[in-house]
Amino acid sequence: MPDEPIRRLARKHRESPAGQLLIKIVDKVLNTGRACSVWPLGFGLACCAIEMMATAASRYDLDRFGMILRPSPRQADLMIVAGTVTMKMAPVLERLYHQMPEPKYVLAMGSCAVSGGRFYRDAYSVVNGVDRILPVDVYIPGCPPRPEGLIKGLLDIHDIIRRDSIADAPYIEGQRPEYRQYPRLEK
Amino acid sequence: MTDSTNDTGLIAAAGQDNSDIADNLREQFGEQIHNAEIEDDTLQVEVAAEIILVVCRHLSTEIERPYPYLSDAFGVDCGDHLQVVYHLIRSETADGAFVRVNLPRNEATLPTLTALYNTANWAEREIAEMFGVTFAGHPDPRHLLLPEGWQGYPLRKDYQRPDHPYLASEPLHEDPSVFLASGPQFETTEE
Amino acid sequence: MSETTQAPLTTEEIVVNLGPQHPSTHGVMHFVVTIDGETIRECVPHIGYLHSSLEKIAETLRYEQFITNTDRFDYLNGLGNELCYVQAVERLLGIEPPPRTVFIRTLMAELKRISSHLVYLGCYGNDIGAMTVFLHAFREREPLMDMFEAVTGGRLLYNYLRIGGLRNDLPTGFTDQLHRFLDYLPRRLEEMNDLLTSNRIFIARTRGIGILTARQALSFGVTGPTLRGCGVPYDLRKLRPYAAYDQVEFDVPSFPEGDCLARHLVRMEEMNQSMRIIRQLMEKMPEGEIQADVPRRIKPEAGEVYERVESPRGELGCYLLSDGGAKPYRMHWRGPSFYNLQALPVMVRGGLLADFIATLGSLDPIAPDIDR
Repeated sequence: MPDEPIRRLARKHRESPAGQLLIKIVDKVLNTGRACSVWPLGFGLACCAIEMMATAASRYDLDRFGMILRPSPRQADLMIVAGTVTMKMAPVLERLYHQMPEPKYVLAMGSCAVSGGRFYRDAYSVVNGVDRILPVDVYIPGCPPRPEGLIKGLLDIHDIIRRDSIADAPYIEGQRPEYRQYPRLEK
Repeated sequence: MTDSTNDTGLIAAAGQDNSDIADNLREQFGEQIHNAEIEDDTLQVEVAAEIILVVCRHLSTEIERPYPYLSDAFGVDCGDHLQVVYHLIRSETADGAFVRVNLPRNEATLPTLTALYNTANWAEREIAEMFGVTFAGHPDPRHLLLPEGWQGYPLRKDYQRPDHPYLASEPLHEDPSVFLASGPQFETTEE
Repeated sequence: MSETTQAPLTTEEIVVNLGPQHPSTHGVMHFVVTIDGETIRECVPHIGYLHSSLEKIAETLRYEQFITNTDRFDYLNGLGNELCYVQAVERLLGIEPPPRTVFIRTLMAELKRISSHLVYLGCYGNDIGAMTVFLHAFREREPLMDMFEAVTGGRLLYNYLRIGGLRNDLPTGFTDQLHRFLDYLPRRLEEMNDLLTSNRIFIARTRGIGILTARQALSFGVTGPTLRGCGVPYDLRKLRPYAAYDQVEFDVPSFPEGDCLARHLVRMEEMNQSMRIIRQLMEKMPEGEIQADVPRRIKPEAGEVYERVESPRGELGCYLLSDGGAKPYRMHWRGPSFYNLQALPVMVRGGLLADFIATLGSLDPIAPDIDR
């Protein structure tokens, strides 16, 4: 981690008022920059991919949020899983996720990626939601979601990014910061 | 056929009668043709598994107005037996012939038609993995749609969904949902 | 340097994986390509990454419930798929839909064909490096999406057709919206022809690339614009007219070259023909009911039916077997892309690796249509 010295410094001074102010300013600048240049990996699988393309194209114009769909996972920090994940595709999906650099976020677009959708009960070859495989940050229901829905989900990703702080421990594979670990509902 | 005003002359041939084909088939193959009839100018033939290759070659090359191309092939699980259906077409008039073969559930074996039609390659691979029909002599008998090592034949009626963590109703990761973006408007969520 | 000491240059065959996640594969497909230098020696497609077991699901749903799932086969042709399935069920039941319904169904299927070809145009431009066309084509597509939304309530997937009818009639103001679009699109298509089709680079990248002869195409079961690009005027709308296609005049464009450019030209001309069909349909649109009398519980008698329609990608077939119950006993879907893609190895063998994507894009495959 090249930013580890800065993080260590921030953790050391986060108790003092002056340190807190400084951290806040640095966070604000860094996170605004990161939130305004999210590069998603367009993981178009099925019908939702067309709506994702429509969102990126003329009328909805994702470029105004600083987003360019990247073809390679190594250049991306957000994975938009747009469509049905099947059992044959699942290992590929997992491998692509691990090829993305940290910090990384996952957005499940459409009923199929959220829960399997209409394939939940009867299909023998569809994964019941991408959260069986990857940790998902934002869910967008809909079959398919409208482009406005996808944009709303991406703005929620911005909110998550804006809550990151350099005083937190760096992202380690499989471990996430505290605010991203919500208690599960009791059954 | 309601429209016959086509200036390319392709439609003109469609009006011809196909009934002699069914009679010829019955004469030539006798008992092994279980059924041969014309319904709405479509030929329906049911044959024994041993002569499927011969009948298809006969229909696609040897008769006067042949059905030279295989358009589609699929399987049906009829309960006590399996059925494989081949849909042969003529490219000039787009009218077709259905050739059916009944197979026992336990030892479903058919000769491959890949030598006659290129189309048969993937169609037979799909039937093989979905219904458990073995196509003898197929050049590439791997799984087509399902992952390697798949157990069971999904489109058979007695198939049970596998017990797999991907099909479980709970997420694998102990890192559950954070946000639920539900808006602005979702009239297409039927479920 | 003497020539005797220099060993002849040897090349080694390399295996390249394209996909399953690849920006230009039009969904998730996987190709194992063996190349010798830049020349493709062999190409093996691996499919099934989107096999969502819809044929099995059909056996668990009632006839009228499954209509919504047919949209998910070939998602660029949702209403065309519904048309095929609904016609199959109607033939099983022996129901004749009212004339107005038939006209609206045909109209929507043709609008969907234009929208599908516009997506093809955008993606194909993108595939061979003309990014601008993608933005243009998707801009022209948005008014169409507005129209579908006004009529059906959905942008991409609809559930609009009903057995023996439609969910609702055309809304007020739809005619004006449609005529505005029909006045506007031909100019835009001309602009796109100037931009792309007559572009020297585009022609250099598509003419003589990915050649498929008519004989090969037919033996591989290839249909649709790909087959018409080989000079075979095979179009089910003409050869076996269904819905209202026997009441309109249109031409079936076909080009004999069999290369990527021919397939592209077929699709461009088909959009013009679709507009011609739509204009005639709007002129002849009959008034009246939109719903036929349908039994409250849909239970066809035991029997089977194989219905075929012409989708933007080729011949779409729907086989339904009824055992007398409320659910289909077996449903089979003939996806045109499934058979079209099978011919890809023949088309790319001996060509350059750079032309692989150009050839694949010209087939316009859709992953759920292949894998179902």
